[in-house]
Amino acid sequence: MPFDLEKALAAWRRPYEVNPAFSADDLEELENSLRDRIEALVGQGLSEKEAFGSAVQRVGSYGTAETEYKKVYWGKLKREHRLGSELIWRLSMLKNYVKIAWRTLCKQKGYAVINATGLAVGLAGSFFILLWVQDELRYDRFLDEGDRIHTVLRRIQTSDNQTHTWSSNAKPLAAALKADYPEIEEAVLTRWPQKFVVTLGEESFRETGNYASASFFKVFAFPFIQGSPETALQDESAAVITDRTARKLFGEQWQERGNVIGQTVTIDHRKAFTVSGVIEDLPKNASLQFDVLLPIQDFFSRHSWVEFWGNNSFPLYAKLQEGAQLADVNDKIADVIMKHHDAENVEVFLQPYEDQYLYAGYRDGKHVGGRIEYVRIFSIVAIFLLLIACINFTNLATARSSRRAREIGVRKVVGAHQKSLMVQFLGESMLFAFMALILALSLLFLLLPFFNELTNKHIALEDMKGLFLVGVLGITLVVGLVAGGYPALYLSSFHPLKVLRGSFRLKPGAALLRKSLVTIQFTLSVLLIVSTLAVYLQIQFIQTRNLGLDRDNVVYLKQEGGLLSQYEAVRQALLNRPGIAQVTSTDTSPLAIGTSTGDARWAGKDPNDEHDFHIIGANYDFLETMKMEVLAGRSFSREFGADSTGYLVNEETAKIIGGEVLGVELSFWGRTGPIIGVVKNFEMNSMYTPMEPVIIRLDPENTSMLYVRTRPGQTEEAIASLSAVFAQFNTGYPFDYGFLDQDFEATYRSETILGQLAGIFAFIAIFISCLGLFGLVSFTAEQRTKEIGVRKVLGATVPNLVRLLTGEITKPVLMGIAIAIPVAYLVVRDWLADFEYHIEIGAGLFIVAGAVAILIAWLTVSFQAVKAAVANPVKSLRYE
Amino acid sequence: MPMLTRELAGAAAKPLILSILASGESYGYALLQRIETLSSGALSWDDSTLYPVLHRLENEGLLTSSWRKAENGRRRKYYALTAKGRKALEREKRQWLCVDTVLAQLWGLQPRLT
Repeated sequence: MPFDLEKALAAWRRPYEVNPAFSADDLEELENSLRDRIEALVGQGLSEKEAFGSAVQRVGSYGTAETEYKKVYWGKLKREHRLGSELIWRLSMLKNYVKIAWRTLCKQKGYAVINATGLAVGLAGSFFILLWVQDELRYDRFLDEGDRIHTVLRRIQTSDNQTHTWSSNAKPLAAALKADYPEIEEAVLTRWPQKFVVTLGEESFRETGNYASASFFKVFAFPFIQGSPETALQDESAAVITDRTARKLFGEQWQERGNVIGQTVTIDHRKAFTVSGVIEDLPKNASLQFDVLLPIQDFFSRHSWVEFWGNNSFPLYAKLQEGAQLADVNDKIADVIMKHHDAENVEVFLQPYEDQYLYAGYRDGKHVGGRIEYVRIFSIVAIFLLLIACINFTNLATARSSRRAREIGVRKVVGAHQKSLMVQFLGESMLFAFMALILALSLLFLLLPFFNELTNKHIALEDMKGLFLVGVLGITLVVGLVAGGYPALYLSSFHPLKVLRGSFRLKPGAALLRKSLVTIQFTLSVLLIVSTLAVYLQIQFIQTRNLGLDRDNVVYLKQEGGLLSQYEAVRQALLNRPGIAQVTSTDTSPLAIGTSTGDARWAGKDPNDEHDFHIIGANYDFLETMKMEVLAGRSFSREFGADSTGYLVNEETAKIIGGEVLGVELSFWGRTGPIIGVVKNFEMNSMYTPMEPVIIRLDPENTSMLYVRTRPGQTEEAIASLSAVFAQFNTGYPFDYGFLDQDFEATYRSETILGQLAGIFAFIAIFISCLGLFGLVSFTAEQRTKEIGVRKVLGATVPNLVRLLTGEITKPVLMGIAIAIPVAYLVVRDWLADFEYHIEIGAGLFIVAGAVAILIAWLTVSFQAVKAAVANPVKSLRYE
Repeated sequence: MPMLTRELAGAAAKPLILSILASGESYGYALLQRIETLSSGALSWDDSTLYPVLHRLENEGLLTSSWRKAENGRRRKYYALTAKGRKALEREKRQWLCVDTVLAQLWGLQPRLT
């Protein structure tokens, strides 16, 4: 029979095939090795049969192979087995942990509710703050190349070494900046936002509008729906409108009409403008707000005074070249005005446009305050809230630890490491934290509309993504760790022998720690209460302060059409109607004067002395309508024909001019005239800034706002009168009016919001703290049931016992108050210092806050204390 | 060269395999051939001894393996050194050199300058 190699190999393979120690791969490897050997031997001239015999010998006997392979096989098997069982063991432990956590939770429902509520409210509060902060930080930060846009500001140093910062600039400055400094790519001028009457056919609308330089959209890259950003404002009669205005004018489907560009609208019944572009609606969180934008050239053409360097009437924005350094540019441009114009001590500098919202506010040339402070304050408040909530968890967990002592003892005896116990307890606090997270998110969704209304924000559910979600999860995780960290360490350190023998006593250190934590909670709560009170009082103070003018009962409306051309007739018609006391007109609201001049000259003025004066162009009856007080001289009067060149000045201006100011000849903007009266200083721009000098000139031809003083209590009649007169003189204009006091309050809206928010957060803080107290006291009362029973049997009265139980928490709460007061004093003083006019901090503030805190604390615990004290001692002594 | 004892051959398996694979991946039969050539036949293991060692080193993470098709159509399992294997080789090297130095000194094989 001839030798068949394949058959021989099959026979060789058989014993290996049935042995589990050889996998198919192992066998293939070994067989191929055998085949290689056979081939090599055949190559050396051996027959297949001889080669096979020799090769099999070299590969080795089946016996040796089995022993060697088995060693490896078992090793592998053992390792796999160990991993598997380890995994199963861990999973079952995890299941066990969850089960125990759930049981503990169910057994102590009240405690669980207190814990979860406290954590959830704390989390929800901090999430709201997170949303608010996120929204604040995004303000104005959405433009392409927005980081290159800067607001141009002027710093003026006066002779008495005060520095004033101004945001209005003269028209020629824009051209000079662009021409002289290659780093400045563009400089664009705007006006302050105003209302335009937009007329299309028969319909008129009042829209927020503004003027801007032709290159405006090269700087502010607001997205265009139709039209071209480069050319939209080139033509002096072009107008750019927003999508919203386009819908209002041309219908919802204006885009399908296709011919909106090129349509003509009339603005203020004055001039026809051609729509040259439609942009998307401006985001709510943009400082610049307008629905109609006109070329500023249109404004320039109508006012020759704009060419003067001394007329600072325009907000100015500069876009820097890519890579230009702000500090370098500021160094270079500082003296630009002094180079072009006869002026001293005026420095120009840039502020990043994106920072403008958060970092507004300058005093003495240095940046102060601004909303960034509120962002910081509230971030700290958020941390406070979380801390207070965490403390509740820690306190309740350690207080109740004796309940779990046995569980811990048994676990340790059967071999649990401290580490695994810590993991268990941390896991429990994490479980709690995530339960609270779900609750907190529900609260967040539920309360978001109220929050938006309160804070005047437009936060949508869509904003809750990305970083916010990361923040939310991060906060929850940290809260779980912080809250559970100490209890985990503390519980897992119990000595099993002591615990199980029954000689276990809680360490006194833990009780001390609990008291310290209560102290911290109340320190933070009192801090918040004091701050809330201070903000509230300051706002009260602002709103009731004598401003130097009476802002109540003043209605204003834009002076346009007949109101301007037939002013006297309108005035008479109004005065003849019910509810109207006084009528005047001006070119600016006295609460926000937009125009100033550095050109004012008078005899005896130090030529090196640089001052910017606010200018109000007013009509007769201005002081009477505003109820401003004349300190010297007299008001404008129709009886003196020469008043058309006369000036009124406020006390600040009088101080600058010095000496006897009445009769001093003042000249600027090409007009010279005597000062005829001095007016008491009146509030203008902000409580944050000191009084500024003001000059009031009689300029009836150029006024733009009608101010009407109504008779007190007759606002409705007055509005009806206004409406009737308006209809008579101003057909084609929508009737629209505002109240001076509301404008004033709007100026302090962020302070009002701050006050309300602080109040809410103070409430949350004290609420969570009291939840914790409640839990603590109910627990001690329960623990001391027997003691209370014995005391009662021995004759202790209910008040005695209540005092015993409440006394324990009185001390830490009082301590908290004591710590909070100096800190609160510093914080409040700091905040108030930003205001030029502010309340004095009295002791009353702290007494009230302290009393509120201790009273609430007592109320919280007395319920439990009384319950424990009035319990029947027979029952409590039978207990267990 | 004399044949090595079983124990010594066994102990030398690991450093030998790691050293050969350090210069590039290879498969079992080629490894055996290489060792046999280098030792002029003094070191020769059975295939059934070598492969379990390879498998063990692979389990320990010192080697990785992959199957490839050879030109004769058969599949071959190639072994290559891992980073961990490289470190293990360094350790082996130091140990064997240490033994070598000690024995060389004891036997007076150390080259002397005097």
